[in-house]
Amino acid sequence: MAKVTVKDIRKTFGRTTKVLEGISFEAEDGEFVSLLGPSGCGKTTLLRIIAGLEYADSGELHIGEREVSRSHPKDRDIAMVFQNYALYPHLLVSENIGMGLKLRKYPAHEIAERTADAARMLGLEPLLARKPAALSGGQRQRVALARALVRRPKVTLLDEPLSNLDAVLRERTRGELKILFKKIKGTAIYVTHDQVEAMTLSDKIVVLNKGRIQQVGTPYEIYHKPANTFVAKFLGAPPMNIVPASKMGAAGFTFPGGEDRLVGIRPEDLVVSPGTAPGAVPFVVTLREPTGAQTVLSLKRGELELRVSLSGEWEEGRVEAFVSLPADPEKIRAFDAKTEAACS
Amino acid sequence: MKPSKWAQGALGIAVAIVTLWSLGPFLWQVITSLKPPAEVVSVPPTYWPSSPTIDSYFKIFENRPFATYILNSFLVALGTTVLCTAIGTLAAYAFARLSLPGGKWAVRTILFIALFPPTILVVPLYKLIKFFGLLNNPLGLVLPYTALNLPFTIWVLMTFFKQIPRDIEEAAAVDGLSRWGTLIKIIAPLSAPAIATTGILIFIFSWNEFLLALTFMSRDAARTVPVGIALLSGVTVYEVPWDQISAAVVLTTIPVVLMVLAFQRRIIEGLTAGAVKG
Repeated sequence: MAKVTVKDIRKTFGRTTKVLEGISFEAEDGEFVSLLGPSGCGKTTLLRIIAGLEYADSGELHIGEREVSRSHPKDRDIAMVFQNYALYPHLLVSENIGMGLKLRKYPAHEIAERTADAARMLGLEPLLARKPAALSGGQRQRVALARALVRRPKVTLLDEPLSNLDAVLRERTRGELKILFKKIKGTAIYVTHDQVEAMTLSDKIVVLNKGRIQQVGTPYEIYHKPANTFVAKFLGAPPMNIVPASKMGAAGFTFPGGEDRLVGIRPEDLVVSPGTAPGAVPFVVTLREPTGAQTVLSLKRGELELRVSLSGEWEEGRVEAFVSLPADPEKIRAFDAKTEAACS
Repeated sequence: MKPSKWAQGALGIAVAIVTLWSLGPFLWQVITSLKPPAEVVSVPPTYWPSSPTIDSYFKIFENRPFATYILNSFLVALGTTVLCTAIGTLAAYAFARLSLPGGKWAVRTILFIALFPPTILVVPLYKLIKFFGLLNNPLGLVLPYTALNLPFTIWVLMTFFKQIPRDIEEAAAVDGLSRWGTLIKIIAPLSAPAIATTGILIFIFSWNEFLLALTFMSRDAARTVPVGIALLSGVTVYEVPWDQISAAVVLTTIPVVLMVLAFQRRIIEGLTAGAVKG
């Protein structure tokens, strides 16, 4: 296990397509770090650069004490779980898992031991003598994971490993993954576009967009203190309401802060009620989306549109809703209207 | 849905017709080879030999060094198959995976070269082979056959290699395999069906090739089967020993059939080895 330091990594495809424009972050020893961003943000390229499957144009990459930005993948002591698992179809599950050890010339008994350990950890024991074609998607995914973990690499790299699983299996595997990495205390870098995966699994999230880091922080920080409007909108469903302060003022809300700012409030932080309350502003309900535990309302008042989510039900046909701002000032975020960066 | 009995019956009949149609000429050869010489040209033809005999099978070995021909053919065909698939696999992998400068154009040029009919190559090739002193040497056929089959081999294998997900190779790289290791331990086993198929076709081509074999191998001891069959002659110039020719054809088809059967098993194994992702 080791610390990973990424320093000012740059990558351009072709002549002009800038994929990564100076990426720097650290993954501490034993830390689970997610690279989160929309498709095309460069997160997979960054992971491939860390793996050594692609080379950065410039920048440094340390795994443990070593600078590895020019090394072959096999010399970096990393393991990788691929999006479509990339198992060797012609080899048995046990051979798939043991391949890396065999190539590193481990003695046969140790390979057998470690393979058995990894198989036990991931519940693959009954499947060791099968070929990948005879496995379900979830089983293949676990084989891919076992193949990565059996080597006890310095870092495990995971490229959207859950994206090919169905919803139920994905959620269960997500939980297992978390328990597993807590247990082995392994450093992991995990690429995903799924905010829920990033939030639930990570110790640290690196949010990327258009080849630049938007924010690095704990899931809590990323969610509650977004560094800019991109992060604010990318995390959370429904996304944070971000409206000019002037519109809020015109609608009748009063709060401190300049008129030229953008105001960001999470839908669940707005207080909404069917009856009036001191300081509450009346809105018209334009859409009611019950999701079970929560109900999401789209509200409109003049030019101002907000989305709020409330726990429980909202009576159908009730068109008037009274909205008040959250009592906690921390829950009202302010962003610069021009740069869209958070105002501290 | 299970096909109805009618459909199954119709399919069976269709398969029987196609099989008979394809095997007809070969069957006729088998029947002819079993006829005594006089009956071969009798009018009207007999569809089944009146007194079946396998004399002709012995006569070809007495008249001509047929065992030598078969051995030569085998050497040439096997040599070509091994050399061509080996070079072809390496070249195809390079074209499929390594981004070589000008690689695309090289591939197109190779295909373009394959458009030349071998006939126009006979004379220049003869001069080359003579220059290198390879006339009447199996290598004198193995090398041109390999050259003639390489474009096809490279194209087929390249297409196949490109279908193998890159992820598998990358996983191999992370696991610790070099390019060579990946090719030998991962790509080649996965491509076994394609390699076997091209191998069979190369073998059949080399086994059957006539023009170059006739031109380059003038000594009887160096001749291959097709040439040997063509040069079979009767007691007089006017007599064509059809019974012996048929016997030779039947006899020399058997190794190819066995070869195909052996490879076919491999092909089926390869195909069922399992896909990458369900």
